[in-house]
Amino acid sequence: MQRPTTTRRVLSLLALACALAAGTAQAQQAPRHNQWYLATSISVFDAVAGKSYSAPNRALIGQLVDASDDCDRFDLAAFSASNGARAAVVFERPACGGELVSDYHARKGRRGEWEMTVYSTVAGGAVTLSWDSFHALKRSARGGEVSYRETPTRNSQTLQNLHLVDLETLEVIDALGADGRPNSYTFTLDGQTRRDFRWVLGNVKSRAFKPIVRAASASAAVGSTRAVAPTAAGKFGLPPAAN
Amino acid sequence: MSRGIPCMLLALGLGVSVPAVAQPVVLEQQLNSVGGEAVAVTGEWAFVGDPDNCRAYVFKYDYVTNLWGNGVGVAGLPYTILGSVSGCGFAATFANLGRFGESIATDNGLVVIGASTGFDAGGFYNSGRVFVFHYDAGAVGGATGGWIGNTAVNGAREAGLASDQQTNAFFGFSVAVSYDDATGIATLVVGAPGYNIPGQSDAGKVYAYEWDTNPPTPTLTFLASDTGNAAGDMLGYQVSANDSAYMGGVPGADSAGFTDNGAAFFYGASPAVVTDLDPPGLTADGDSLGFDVSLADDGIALLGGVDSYVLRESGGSYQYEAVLTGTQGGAVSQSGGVYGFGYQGSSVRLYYADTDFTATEDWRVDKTEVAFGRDISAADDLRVLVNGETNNRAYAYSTPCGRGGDLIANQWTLIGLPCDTGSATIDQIFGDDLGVYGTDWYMYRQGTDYSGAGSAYIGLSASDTLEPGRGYWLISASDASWQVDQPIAAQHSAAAIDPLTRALVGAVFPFDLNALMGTSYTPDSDARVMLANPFPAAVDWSLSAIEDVGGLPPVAIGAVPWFEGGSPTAYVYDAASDGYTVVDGSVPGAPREIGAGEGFFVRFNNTFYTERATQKYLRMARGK
Repeated sequence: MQRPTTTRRVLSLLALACALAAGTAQAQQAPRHNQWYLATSISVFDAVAGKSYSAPNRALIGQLVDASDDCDRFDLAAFSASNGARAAVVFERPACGGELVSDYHARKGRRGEWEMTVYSTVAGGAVTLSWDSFHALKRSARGGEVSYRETPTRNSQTLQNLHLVDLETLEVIDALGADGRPNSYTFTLDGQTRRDFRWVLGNVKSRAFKPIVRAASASAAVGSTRAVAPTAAGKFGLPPAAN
Repeated sequence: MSRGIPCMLLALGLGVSVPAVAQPVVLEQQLNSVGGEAVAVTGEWAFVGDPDNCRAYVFKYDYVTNLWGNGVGVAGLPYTILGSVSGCGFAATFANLGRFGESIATDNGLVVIGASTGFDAGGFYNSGRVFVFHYDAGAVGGATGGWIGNTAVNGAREAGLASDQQTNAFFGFSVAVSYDDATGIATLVVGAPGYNIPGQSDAGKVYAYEWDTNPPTPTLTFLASDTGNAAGDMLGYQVSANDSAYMGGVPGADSAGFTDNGAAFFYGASPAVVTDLDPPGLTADGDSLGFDVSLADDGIALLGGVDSYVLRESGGSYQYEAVLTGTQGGAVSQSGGVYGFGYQGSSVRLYYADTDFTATEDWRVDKTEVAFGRDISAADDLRVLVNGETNNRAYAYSTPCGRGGDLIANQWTLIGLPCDTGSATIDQIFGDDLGVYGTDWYMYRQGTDYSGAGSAYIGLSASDTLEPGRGYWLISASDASWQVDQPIAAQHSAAAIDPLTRALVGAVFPFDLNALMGTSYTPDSDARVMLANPFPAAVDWSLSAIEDVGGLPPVAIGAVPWFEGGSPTAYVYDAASDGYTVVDGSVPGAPREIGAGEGFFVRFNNTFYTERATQKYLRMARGK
């Protein structure tokens, strides 16, 4: 009776050692990416109408050696204000032109934070945020021209260390689930038309739960398509304004 | 299944007569080659197989003239020849290159050519080979104009098996290649329909390879293979691939009590997963489904036979959607939402404006030639190459004006013309699709006030004409689709050089901004200018730039402000979400393409106006 027990114990130890080794190997295999982006998509399901709405843009966060934490050419401004949209996800950066659809930061260390806002006018709509699009970036400067090679991957320490904080419920959603696949997050706005979030790279510390501080007069986007003048030009009215 | 590949060709009937339908103007060009049994097109490259002479002709597209030619201005002549320039006359050459050009597949600078009766030193007669080439711009001065490689593949390289070459296997009777831009890795699939398994002749076989095109040296690695189930199945009679899967036609398969009703085998993410694609209850004796197959990344599979079937991926499997009857062994082909069907011996038909395959096709060409339509290759910008075997030629068709778009009822859409329609009025262009102008639909253009205010838009009259490159607002009282049916009035201006000298550019459209905006207008704030994609296919916005005519040297993104005075960002209106998609080719992750028929805004600041001493042109360019 002793022999099988011993054998089982040895096997168990071997299994544990193998598991540890595998875990170590896995940790070693996942590289940390210094230049990357993650795209957050939004969809809103209107149960009454039986329709899903999506936004015209994904919200891009990332780090680049050429980017800065201030405004730069990688911070793309939206063309229309999101307030009043059926579905939108943006970064409110009045100093950078208003609402942004991309917010790249400088590459520095292993930490970072991005403040992101979701809009929807669909009453009672189920809002889903998803981010199945992490890309590692490789910079290339050929003949003075800078470009980036984009490689999709889930095997990244950077992706493993990204977390989404719901600043309303204070819930923290890891970018990756236990199965190694990207998570998603579904919620309702409970009578509101917007909600703030914070993407955090690194450990989620207490300051990550603080609400976003806004200036008294939030800036609009580059143009506003919501300000349609419906009075002129026959049965169809006027096309959307772009101012 | 009756044994032997030629028998199947004879078994298929010919000749279907259908009435002509309204369609956009289609241009035909006959290519000056011999042969023509196999055709393939991608971007600016077209390939025509000439297996009787063991070679393949390569043609290059001129986006200014919309004609195929030798790349230096002579339309119709080949750019180069691959395979045997001197033909198959010598026994040694025939052994190596037997029926080189029997099958051709191409994608993004890669081409694979089958030689189904070739064989190597192993001496298996008609075992077959394929040859792979890739385009290297640095080798343009060489004998084959940059198409280099010429690597032979003779069969499987399965573990423990030096080779599985067989006499009369016809390895290379069909080929397919799909290039994944994100990884630089292509999937190569080869069919050997004459391959025997124990006790079952002509069961057929398909082989899949990984073709890693990344530097320094392209490599081919065998991935998997599969064989047919029974004698005469002829798995691999045709093959197709996308970025994640591939399929093989099995035209001799028997199922549900029928003989030779055919099928296709689909191999998903794992080669071990095989799905028999045979629309249940729809095929009968001799239907030969799988005579041709086509698989793309949009979830649609096309299966050719006596009739052709459309299947759509749903819930993880392919479901029957539609049948096109009487295709008589014609080919099927698809690319970027363009779906082509050959009706052998009579016509080629294209669907693209929508995917309702039960409706009348969007475009067709009729030609009563034996075997016409047996092989076709469709490109996403509505160019189609068609075989012409019996007359020793291949035909190239294009519809440079044939694009359009969809409209949501009472929802504004920002559109543009895919070509120059000259003096055609908006009523002539859109009236046939949308009804009575002013009642059923309406259009606006931008005035000379570029502030973006809604009140600055100007309503059009039914007799107004449109200008390619400009954006227009269009609204319809009901859900509708529009398509330009007019002939092209003028080609885009010649642009012999890439304005950025850094990228592969297929066509350039120079838009005179000063002529559009005038030189006296000075805005109080950024101007917002309505423009549009002037091409019948997507434009790569990262290849666009603003230039002074004859002035500034080419500029590059990042190093200098390539949009001097303007934002390198385009805002494409998305009617479905009632918002603007931000397009910018210089920001990773941002969209970089503007679709055919789509309009957009670009912003310009005061710098643009203070620098207007010279003319300012916006050059929009198509990628390859």
